Amino acid sequence: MMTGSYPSEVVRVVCALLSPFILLFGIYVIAHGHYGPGGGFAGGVFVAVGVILPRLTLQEELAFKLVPTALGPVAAGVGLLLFLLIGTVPLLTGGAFLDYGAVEVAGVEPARMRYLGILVVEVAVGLAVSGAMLMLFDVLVARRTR
Amino acid sequence: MTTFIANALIGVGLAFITTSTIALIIMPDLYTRAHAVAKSETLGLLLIFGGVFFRPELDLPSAARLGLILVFSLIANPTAVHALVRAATRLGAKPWTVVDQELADQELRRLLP
Amino acid sequence: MSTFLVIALLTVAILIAIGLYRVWAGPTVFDRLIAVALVSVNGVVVLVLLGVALERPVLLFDIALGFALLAFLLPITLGRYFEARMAREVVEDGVSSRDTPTTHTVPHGLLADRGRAFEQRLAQRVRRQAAATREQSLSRGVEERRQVAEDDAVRAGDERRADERRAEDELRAEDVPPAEDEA
Repeated sequence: MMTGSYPSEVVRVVCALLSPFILLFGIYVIAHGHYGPGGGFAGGVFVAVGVILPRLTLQEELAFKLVPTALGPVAAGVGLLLFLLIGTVPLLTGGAFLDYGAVEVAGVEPARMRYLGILVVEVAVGLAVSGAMLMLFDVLVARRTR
Repeated sequence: MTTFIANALIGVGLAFITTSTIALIIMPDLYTRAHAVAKSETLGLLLIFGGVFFRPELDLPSAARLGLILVFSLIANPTAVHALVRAATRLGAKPWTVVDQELADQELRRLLP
Repeated sequence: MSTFLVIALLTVAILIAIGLYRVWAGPTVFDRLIAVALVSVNGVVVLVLLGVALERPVLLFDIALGFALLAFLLPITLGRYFEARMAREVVEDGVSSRDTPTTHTVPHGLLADRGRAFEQRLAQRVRRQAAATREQSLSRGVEERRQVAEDDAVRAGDERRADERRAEDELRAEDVPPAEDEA
């Protein structure tokens, strides 16, 4: 069990300062991934790094209280379910899997629907990837779910 | 004119980075190498990014991103080297010395009353 | 794309190649890690200069920022690992760990399994070397064998320790990084 904080004051302070911004950058990468570099996978990794850095450097109780261990599997499951749900909706209206243009909503043209659908899928993939990374870290340090 | 300033700053920064890399190769032990990487490399990075700010290709969004990279590298690079060298010191990495310190101490004790 | 930027990019690329020499040849793990830190900083510089040279700064600066963020995680994680290792060694030697303000122990889990596998292979290697030495001494002449037996009896403990150390060194050369056993 990893107990205690990182023994160097410098590393503790710098990581505590930087990890919220890393988390924010991950959310930014996820959110603009459909028209820029990155996307769900890279953004999910950044979000996971922003959560893992406090676990490596802060006191164990504090870090695991900030982001509990159970959040990893929950985020991964919710992301996967959201992805499957969004992917299956066009099947009901006669389109192919992940073909959001086939969904007809009054007042929204198909291009706009595709844009929104890709955005939701990126968010779902980001949730799944970050949850899986968090779960991997917690398994590697043998942290049991309470 | 601004392009000239930018190129001059980038050139000076490249000189610092080159010095740092050569020091990484020719320095004798861990601490001197870490010194080169932590300080000279960070200064070269600052100068290069400061030069890139003056390039005419940059608009406002890219300049803001460059500022973020600059601040982050300025904080993170020395911290990373600090973490590594601290762990190495606690694991017992010996500094490189020209003289044998124990022999020198013995000699001093013999010479001084 | 200006000529100056192309020359600068080529310079930094050559510097990355020179830095990779230290990653390859560094005598200790920490030399390699510090060289990796330098190479990653040079990588950020390459991405920034490339963004200016290709006139797509927003795209490549985002990538550079992400690269810098991920390169920061490696030294922190490995520093944590080696500090935890130091804590165990200090406790074993009976030296006061006064200069470490907080308690921290060795991570276990998959690392512990790896450490146990390492120790088992170490024991196998020692047994195999001992068997090889016995065969050698049997194939020699009677006088020599008696001499060897005497020598063995004299420095039995010492030689076993030397054997272990040699085998451990060989194993460590094969199997970097040597892993921890359980906490």
